[in-house]
Amino acid sequence: MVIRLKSLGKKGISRLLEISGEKKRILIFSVFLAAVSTIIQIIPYIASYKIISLYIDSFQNSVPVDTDAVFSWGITAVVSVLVSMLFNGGSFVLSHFAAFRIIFNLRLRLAKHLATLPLGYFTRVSTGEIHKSIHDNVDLIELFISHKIPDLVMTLSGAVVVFGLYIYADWRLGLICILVYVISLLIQFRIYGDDGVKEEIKGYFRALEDINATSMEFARGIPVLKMFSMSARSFASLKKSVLAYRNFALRFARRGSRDFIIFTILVNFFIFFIYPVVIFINASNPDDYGIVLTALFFTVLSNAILPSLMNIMSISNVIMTINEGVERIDAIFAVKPLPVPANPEKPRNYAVEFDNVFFSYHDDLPDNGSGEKNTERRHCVVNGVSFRVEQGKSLAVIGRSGSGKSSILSLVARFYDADSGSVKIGGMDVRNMSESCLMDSLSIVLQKTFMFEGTIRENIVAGRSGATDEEVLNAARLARCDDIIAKYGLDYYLGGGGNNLSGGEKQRINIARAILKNAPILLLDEVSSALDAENELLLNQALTELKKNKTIIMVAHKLNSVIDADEIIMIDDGRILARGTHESLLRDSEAYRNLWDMYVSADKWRFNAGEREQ
Amino acid sequence: MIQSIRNLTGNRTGKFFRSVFATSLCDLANFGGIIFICWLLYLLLNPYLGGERAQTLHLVLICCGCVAYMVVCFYASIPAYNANFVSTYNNSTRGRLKLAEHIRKLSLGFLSNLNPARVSHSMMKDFSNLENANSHIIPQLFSSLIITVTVFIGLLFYNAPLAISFFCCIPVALAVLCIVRFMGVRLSRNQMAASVEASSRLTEYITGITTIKTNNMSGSRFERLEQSLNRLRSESIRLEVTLMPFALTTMSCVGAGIGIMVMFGQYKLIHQEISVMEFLMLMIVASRSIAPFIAFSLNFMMLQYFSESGRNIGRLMSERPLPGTATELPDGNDLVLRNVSFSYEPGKKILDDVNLEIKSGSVVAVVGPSGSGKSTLVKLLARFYDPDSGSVLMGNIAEGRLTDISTIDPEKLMHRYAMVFQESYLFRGSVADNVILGKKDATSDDVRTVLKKAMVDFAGPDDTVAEEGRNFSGGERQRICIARCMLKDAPIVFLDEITSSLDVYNEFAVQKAVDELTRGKTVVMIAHRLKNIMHSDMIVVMDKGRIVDIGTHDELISRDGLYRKLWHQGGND
Repeated sequence: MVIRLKSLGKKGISRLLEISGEKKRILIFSVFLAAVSTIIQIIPYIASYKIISLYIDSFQNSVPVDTDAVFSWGITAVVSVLVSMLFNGGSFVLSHFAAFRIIFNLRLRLAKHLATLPLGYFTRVSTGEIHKSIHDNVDLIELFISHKIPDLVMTLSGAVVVFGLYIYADWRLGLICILVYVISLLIQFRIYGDDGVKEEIKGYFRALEDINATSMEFARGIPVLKMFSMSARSFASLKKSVLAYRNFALRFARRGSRDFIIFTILVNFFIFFIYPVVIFINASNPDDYGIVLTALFFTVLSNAILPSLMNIMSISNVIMTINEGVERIDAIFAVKPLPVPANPEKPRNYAVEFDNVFFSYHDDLPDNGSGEKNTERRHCVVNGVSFRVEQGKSLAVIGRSGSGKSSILSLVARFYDADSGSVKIGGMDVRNMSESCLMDSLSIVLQKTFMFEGTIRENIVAGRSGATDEEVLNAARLARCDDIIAKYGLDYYLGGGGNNLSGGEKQRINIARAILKNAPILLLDEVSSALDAENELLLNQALTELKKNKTIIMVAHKLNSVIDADEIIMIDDGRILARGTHESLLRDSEAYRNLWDMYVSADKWRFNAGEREQ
Repeated sequence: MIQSIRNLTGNRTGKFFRSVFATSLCDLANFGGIIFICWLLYLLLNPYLGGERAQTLHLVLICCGCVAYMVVCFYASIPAYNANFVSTYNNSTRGRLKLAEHIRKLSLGFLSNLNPARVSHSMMKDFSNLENANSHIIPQLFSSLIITVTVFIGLLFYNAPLAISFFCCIPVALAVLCIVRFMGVRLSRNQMAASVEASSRLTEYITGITTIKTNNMSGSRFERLEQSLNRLRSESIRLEVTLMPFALTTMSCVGAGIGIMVMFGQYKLIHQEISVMEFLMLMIVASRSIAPFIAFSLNFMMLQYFSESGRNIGRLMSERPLPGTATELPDGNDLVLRNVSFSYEPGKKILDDVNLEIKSGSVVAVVGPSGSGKSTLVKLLARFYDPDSGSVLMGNIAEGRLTDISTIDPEKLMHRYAMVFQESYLFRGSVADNVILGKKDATSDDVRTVLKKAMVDFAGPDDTVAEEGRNFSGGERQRICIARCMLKDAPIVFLDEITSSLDVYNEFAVQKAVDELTRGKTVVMIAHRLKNIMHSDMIVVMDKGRIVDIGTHDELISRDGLYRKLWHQGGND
């Protein structure tokens, strides 16, 4: 395990240094200062040894003590403390400086990388996860660089220098000390080498993870269980995992405590082990007090490194933490960006065409762990879809959820690239357009609206920075936002997420934004939410304005959108089941007729109608 | 600090202190081994300073004694450490189960809003931290404190001036630590603000990236993010560099002790106020106690961090469960709100002195603009919360026999209610497992019947339901939930108008299922699309926390009030 720790450590720490980039030099210098500071801190111990040996020498040689020498060693002791403090301070400042600059750069690089990724990535990975990686994990790295690395270096350098001095002073005694320490380390970490123990460790972590899972399920399920008066049920499985964990933990601790105690005792007493040898040598040569002085030297210095020797335990924890953080960050960097065209071209017109397009979600995008409920994204597939929408015409896409409707919109906007076939605008594959050119040609109005932190004006203007107030007000009027502007004013500041506005108000501002942008192609996902029912009239009027003079592809939900569309395609399982105008489909497609009946029935549905009629 | 310890140990402080005491003794014994080393060194050096030479046998015996001491320490430590572990893990197990049991009893309202991740975080991480604190931090804290104090007092007796010179810096270090903590709070305010702002800009960037890119705003939004990250960086540096001298003073105060003692000691040596041996012994013992003092300060700082975990748990435990112990349910299913007021946070009243009577068997729709309190009204009827003032009653209005539902055991009350809200949770298991929650002793025929009535045609009773029902679409999940409620066959049904954000297939099917579910029952529905509920027996119109009108659709539409306005706004004629 020790060996494995070391190799993990290399991966984690060396990757960290890679990430550090240009600040590596500052970091190395800070580490150097830390090492020097530690070494200087040993000097007072040496000073006290020197003073005592001066007295012993003087006694043995019957000469008075060289008080000047004694005095100067005393001064040296105090001065070295101050000097070591200065070096420590310097190391501290440099390591923090380097650390903060490093994580600043790292965060920017991550954010820049995020901007190059296919937008589909963001529907699969939760905002929380990404935020955690960029914010919290990077914070951990800062802690590691500014505190742990200097700490590590100080620990190691102290131990190395003292053991080095030992060997220099008397290689036999030095060897004994090193041997005792190494044996204590082996005992402490030997349990990790045992296969049986490895299984236990795995079991321990599994049990802990299990508590996580069962308590999540417990917390999620409790409201429902209470509603059905069965809340005691979920408790049973949580209890089981809690008890299982406890048993693992106790077994593990019992195994480990014996070795830990031996380790502690050996480290505390390691200096004792030189004494039998010293006694033996001294007994065979009583007039030579050199060996006794050496023993004194060893003993005095041993106190200098005692904290470092015990500290070795925390090093392995730290390395494991850093590995996890680095892995998460690398996971983000590993996601491949959307390929950029070498020679971008502009489309000749704004007709949209799908040419035998195939698409499915790939494994390199992480699994959606956020619990987002729209199943369209799950195992959605586009299976050889072909259609053409002329410029200025509208296409309604209808079908069950999970049939592939929303993926069609995503592919036009290049949230993903098709697996085969091509998505074309104006006869040109969207992959040959530059991103900004593509985005300029699209207005996208989806279920989820997003308000920036900024004024209402800024939210309507969005990317069209040159827009005048007159243009903004006009767009707002067309989007039926007059009441909103009257209530708040253009300069009203929206907080993050625009929470001061109701759902319906946000939708209309979103439409104002799209109207102002006036892009030639409109991608519209019409799934409506209950929240804007009170704005339904205004919303419908705003959408009607939005749809004027554009090429439209919409996932249709409202009856009127379907009837008025120039062409309708019915999608099932990623394939086009039927296509045509509303009238031609009613005539020729039974599937369409059934669907249409459902639309009408759903629209006509009145709650409690049956009761009333009785 | 006592409170931290209490939080960390779950109030079993007596037993806890005994195990801490035992491990402290072990650590003290470990430390005490230095006596052997000092003894040996003394005997070895003595001859060279004019003292007697000790016999080799004597020395060897001391060595043996030391080894024996180590062995005794080992065997004595084992039970102490094991007792510590056992009590630690038993405590945390007890604590976890207690927390779970407590959560179970909390109000539906609290539980629906509770982020499950917070609970699992507490269960896992917070209690792990407590275990760590109990098994390592706190015992080490006490043992290192005891060692340091013991050494200090011992050395005081031996040679007071030198002892003081070694330890004099420690009070200084502690004082500086306190100043740093005090100042740190003020200084870190700017840094925390910068951190919060950077975090929210980052969230905005990530959440809005689609909108940002489709509007070609990547550059400007990125700039904003960069600015806030830069500010965070400079504030962080400012904070650390300002605190740096203090932190350093603390760190070096400990090391300084050695330097000062050597300085002071050599002075006394030169003036022959102290013998070489005395100086030596003092040096060795005192410098050995640096390690425990460092351990004390490190553990003290970690204690602050870990007691945050204790507080997290404490906060969950301090949420009050819903009262009510009566197990007898009232006769009759009429519902009455009497002078009910309620707010989620103090000062922001959502419901203000609301009165309402709902006769059993009637279909009631609650309508109003957003923020009017309609969902809160229904939640109070469903006993998600108890009102701040006034009461919710159930029983028979005509005969005047009404019972305050807050006196009834909450889970017993649930026998009368079925709820279908926007989000409904499905468990990992089979479809039948989920449906059978409605009625424990239902037969498989019963299950099949309700599945059919609830339009669950996309899955059979034995089909798997993944965690949270992820393998089904929203509309499909709702139909399974409706089947569950059908099986329960409770007399009162609460509905949040649920056909929104569904595609037409699901909308159609769910509508049919809802019709089946609510046949012959008392229904209270939060309505959004007015045309859907126009046939309700009673429509309750709400605005700003009060009921402003009640009546049938025809009555309300003829009045020139809020209802008519909402009707037209909804695009109806």
